[in-house]
Amino acid sequence: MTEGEIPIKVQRFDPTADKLPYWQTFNVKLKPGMTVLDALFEVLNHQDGTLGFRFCCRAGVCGSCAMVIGGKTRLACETQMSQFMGKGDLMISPLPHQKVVKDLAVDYTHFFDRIKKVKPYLVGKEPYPEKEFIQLPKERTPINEPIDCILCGSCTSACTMAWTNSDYLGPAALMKSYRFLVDTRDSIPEQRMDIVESESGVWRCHTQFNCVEVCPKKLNPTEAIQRMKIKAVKRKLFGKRALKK
Amino acid sequence: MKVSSFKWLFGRNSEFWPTNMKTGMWAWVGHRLTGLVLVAYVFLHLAFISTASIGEGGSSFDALMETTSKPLFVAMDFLLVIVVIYHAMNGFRVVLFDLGVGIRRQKLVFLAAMAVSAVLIVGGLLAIWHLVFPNGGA
Repeated sequence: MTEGEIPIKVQRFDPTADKLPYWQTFNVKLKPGMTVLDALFEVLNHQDGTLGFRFCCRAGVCGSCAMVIGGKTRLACETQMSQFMGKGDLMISPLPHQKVVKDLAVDYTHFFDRIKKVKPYLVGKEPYPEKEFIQLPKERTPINEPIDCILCGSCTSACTMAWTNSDYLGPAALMKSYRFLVDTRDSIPEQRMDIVESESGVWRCHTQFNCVEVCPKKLNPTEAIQRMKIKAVKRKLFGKRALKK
Repeated sequence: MKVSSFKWLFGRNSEFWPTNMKTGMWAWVGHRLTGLVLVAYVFLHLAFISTASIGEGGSSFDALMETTSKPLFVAMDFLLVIVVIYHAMNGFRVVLFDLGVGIRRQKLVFLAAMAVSAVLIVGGLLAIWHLVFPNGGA
């Protein structure tokens, strides 16, 4: 390693060839403004063409490049390399407890299955209006935050409850459910509550706040889950009235 | 293939590596561990206390109490106080979250809970000291 280089230790694993994953170190020369994704490209282009990772927008919008960088789950495209200068090896591994497709790319099938379970779409109230559903600014306020989720899978990968129970919906899916639950245009709050207060729903959350810590968009899935717990209790106590918006 | 062997679960880049664990995770791990300790303690306690009924003349209970006032037992009692108070205060913190209080300020809530715990633990230490050594530690 020469001056101005950062050693990055990447977790390599090819399911078709390797029995167990292993670490491989590459030295990357730091350039101004270099992100971890840039560093991975540097490795891919000049050092090892077999390195596998997923990316798309390179601007923190698509959520494809979520991985564990230096012990924390973050987006590779949003993480500056300069902060790791002089701090020893920078360890990079794929999202924890997901099936690895190759090296840093993981299989999102299970994650999206969880999202699909909560009906992640708006079911409008009938009769449908001729133009659009009217929503007042103050009705929009509660969904301002959860609507920003980019489905990068960081929270569900970081949640140890989601690791140990593959049926648990996980923070991302539950926040998605919350987003439609508090939406005044939605018409199936009862069905949504039936899903989230089931055995694999909100009650599996132990308020570890791992999801909040890792969210690259600074969202708060735990708060959404806790709000739904309160809603679930109110529904059991006061019936349907509790879900009125 | 799932990467789930011990080495990978607890390695330097994993969530269970101490420097990677954040406030909420520490609180949860502590809560779990103290919970397990308390469950084990309840059974030990029952087993220990029930030995008082073995023996004749009703003196065995007094003998048992004699044993429990030995320094080793007092030290263990103090550890128990720490465990119970941490578990109770963190439990209170979790209840607050369930009521929707302080979720956005979870780190502050944890620090507050730990501050209250510290005060209670010091109080517990003094109380034990006075009960066991009424004559000033003689």
